[in-house]
Amino acid sequence: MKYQIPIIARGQVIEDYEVTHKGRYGADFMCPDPNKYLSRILLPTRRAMEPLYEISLDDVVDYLIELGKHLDIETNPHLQWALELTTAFNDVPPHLVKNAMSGFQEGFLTRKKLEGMIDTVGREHLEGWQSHNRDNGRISKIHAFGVPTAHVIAGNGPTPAIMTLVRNALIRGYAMVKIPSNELGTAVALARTAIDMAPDHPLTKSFSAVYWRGGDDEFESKFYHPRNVERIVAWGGFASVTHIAKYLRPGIDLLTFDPKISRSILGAGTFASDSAMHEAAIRLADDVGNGNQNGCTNCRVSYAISDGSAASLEEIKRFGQMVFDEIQNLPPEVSSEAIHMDNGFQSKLAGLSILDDEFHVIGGDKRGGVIISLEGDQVDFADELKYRTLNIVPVKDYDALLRFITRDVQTVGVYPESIRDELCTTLALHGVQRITSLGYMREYNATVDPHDGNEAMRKMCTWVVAEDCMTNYAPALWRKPADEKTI
Amino acid sequence: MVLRIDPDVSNTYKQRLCKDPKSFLDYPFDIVFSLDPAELDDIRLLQAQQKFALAKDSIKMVERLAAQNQVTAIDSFNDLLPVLYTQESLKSYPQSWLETGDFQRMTKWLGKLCAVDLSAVDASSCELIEDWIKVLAQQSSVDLLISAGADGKAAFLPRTRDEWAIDHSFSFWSFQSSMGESHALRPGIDKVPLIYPGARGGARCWGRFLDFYEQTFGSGLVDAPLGYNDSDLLSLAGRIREASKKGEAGLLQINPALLARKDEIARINAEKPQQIEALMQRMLNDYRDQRIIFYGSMQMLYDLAMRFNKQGVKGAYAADSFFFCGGGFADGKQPPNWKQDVAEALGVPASSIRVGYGMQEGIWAMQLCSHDKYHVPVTMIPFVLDEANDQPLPRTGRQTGRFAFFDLLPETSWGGYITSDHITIVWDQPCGCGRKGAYLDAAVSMVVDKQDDKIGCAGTASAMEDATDFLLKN
Repeated sequence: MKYQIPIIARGQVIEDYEVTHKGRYGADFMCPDPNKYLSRILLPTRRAMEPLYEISLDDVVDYLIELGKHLDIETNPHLQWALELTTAFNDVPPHLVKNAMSGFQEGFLTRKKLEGMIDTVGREHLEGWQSHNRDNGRISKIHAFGVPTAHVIAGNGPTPAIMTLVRNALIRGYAMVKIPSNELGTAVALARTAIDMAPDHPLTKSFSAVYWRGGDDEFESKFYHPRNVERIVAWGGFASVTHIAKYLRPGIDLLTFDPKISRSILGAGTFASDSAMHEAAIRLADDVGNGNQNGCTNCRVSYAISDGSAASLEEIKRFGQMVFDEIQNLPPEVSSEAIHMDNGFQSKLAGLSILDDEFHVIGGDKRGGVIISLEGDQVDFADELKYRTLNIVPVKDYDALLRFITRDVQTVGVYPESIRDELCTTLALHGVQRITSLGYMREYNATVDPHDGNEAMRKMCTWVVAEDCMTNYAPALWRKPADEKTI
Repeated sequence: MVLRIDPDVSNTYKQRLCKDPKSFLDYPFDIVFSLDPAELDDIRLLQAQQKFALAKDSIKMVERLAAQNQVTAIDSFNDLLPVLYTQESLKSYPQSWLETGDFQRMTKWLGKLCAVDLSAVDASSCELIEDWIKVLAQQSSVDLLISAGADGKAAFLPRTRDEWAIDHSFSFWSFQSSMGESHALRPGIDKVPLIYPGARGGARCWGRFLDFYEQTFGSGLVDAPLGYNDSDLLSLAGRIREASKKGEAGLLQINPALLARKDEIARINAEKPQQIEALMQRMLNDYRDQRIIFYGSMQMLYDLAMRFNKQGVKGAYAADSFFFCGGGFADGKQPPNWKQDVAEALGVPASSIRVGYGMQEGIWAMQLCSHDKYHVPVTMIPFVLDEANDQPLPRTGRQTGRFAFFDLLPETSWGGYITSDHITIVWDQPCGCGRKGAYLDAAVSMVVDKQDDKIGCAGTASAMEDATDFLLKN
């Protein structure tokens, strides 16, 4: 079966399907030729952005709140289409995608949420020109502007698409989303919903979406030019950023959200009582299994403080079993057994399970698994753990775990709470970008809190200063002291 | 082409094959590939059942895979799939053991991949892989095979000397059968140089066949200019790559004695072009008009022929020379009529240029038949898997996907592998060459990630290749 993915170009739906691409899981999809429609995707002139600044920030918020009302997955045909696409092109189970889509309105499009996002930049900078009196007499008026921006978003769920739409609207930029091959529908569905709701609204015309094959030189060499694109917001790792990097030049800024992995630290208090163990196991199970461990925020490795004694290791094994059991108890709408496990991963688990003296493996099949490294070395494939598989690594103290912490670690979940205060500076210096309570790793407020170490919306803006040098007679080389009186 | 096989010979062959799969080596191609496919499958299934029954009690890894996947017996070929190894199985040891030189544990791990008892092997004195290979050879029947996978982590296959002997017999049978009765080499009589543009010994398996060739036909016959393939150096780049995933801490884990040898890689790489050019010169001059056997890449064979063309030379070697090649062309594009052009320059019939397919994990090799097909050896149970979900595709018609196989020849190691090769098998259409049974199309490629622009948020962004290059160059 062939699916059709239109180009959304400044509020217009282009359905001239003539290019076929092969999907990862066997299905094909067709798109219009992006080269043919490049001029319609790009802004014809910067003046096309002026209508965005003829409306107020409150108008923007009202528009987004209204859009949220139209994003009910039960009734919105565009989102339903996007959901159907995920069954053919994504390995995230459809019910998890549906669950994420159901959260669009509550998660992003309430007045409270939007105001929170505005606060990260400062309403005064988004609404108008904020005055600052400088010590040299100048009055600097600063305004944060959105600019034409290419968004190369991640496709492991529908959230990056909605997040991009909202961020772009609030800073009043012009977003051109490169549709990810594994999440072909959501960006298009959002744009089409906006077109149905308010076809001529400037915000509707400020969100375009197009698929081209990443690395397509013919298209990208024309597209990524400072006259078309001032900023690139790129999700993804070395490979995806490498081919974008060759287009960078003065005039194009890059903001990256690298792939990350997340871990947790279980302090000695975890094993102090059965109730503490059970509490930690319930929380950790959610961190591991929520969203089927497809996200960067999912826990893949836990470091457990242990004296290495046989009794301690037995306790950790018992805890591992608890975590495994709690993973099975996760509600089906947030977590489920793997649909398909790749053979290579199964082989790796089988390989560990024969090393009984060094590794204790619980499960390790479609239900998920817990691998306990009895000798304190995390597994070689710690960063690639998937299908709800956790590696618990006993360590004698915090110093022993720091050798595993690099800038690739985004979130560290902690239990008990005191670890956060004790270790947050040390972890930050090792590259960690977020420290949170165990059980909350999956709930990342990246819309208002720093995202992968970035103040995302502020970085997406171009900050413009309009200076008044005359009101306070700011000093200048050409100005003679006597002039002050005559001007 | 219909082949008439003496029924008595055919029956004896079947009976012997049922008892011992390697007995096919005593028969010529025509008889070996004359069995009715259904009848052959019955024999293969019987042997697979026996192999599994033995392995589940004697090979820990197979036992564990079987338990994980609830496989208790083999009723059909597809029951084998959950217990096949992958490349990961052969490198499932913790990398830190290799870096700290913990070869006692490496030995214990290796022992769980095969039925050979390695518990008495004392590898405590080993510091590097080369030491370990020697100790294993001295204290057990294992003659270790090492290969570096795509991700760089070294894979180890515990093949025994007996299994190597079968492997050599298979290669030799294939080699002699290709040349036909009239041209087959006669031990003690024919002294034909074998030219191989690779390493003479060490890691990887071909050096062993070169030894076998010289033992069979006489010493000094092999011309393989690249010296000894050191296992530790072979694995060094991969080990650096593995370690660089762990950041600075990981890099400190690499055995410093080994890291210090990284300059040797640069030297070896620098010397290689001259050594290959020197071999080229010998082929252009010293071996002219002689009968030779050549094993190498298509590209090198083609380059050689083009150099003869430039010199206006046609018929450079004796007409009964043979050229075995594989590996394709450097740019992936096959020049039109390459075989005819090469044959003309070298002075042999095009049928004497043989294109082969094989892999280190299997005790088998296939050569394209006169109709450009690779016929599945009688000792192999092939599978084609759906690349999207690794499920087996029907064993009928023409199927394309990931290649997996169960090799019936290994005796103490395990013969089942899921490969990363993308192939097409035709299951039930007779081939024009007359051989019966399933066959592969000539085109074999790697299974590729078809959606290479897929982006997710989970993973690490480390520039692994860059890190490796940096370490090797600095």
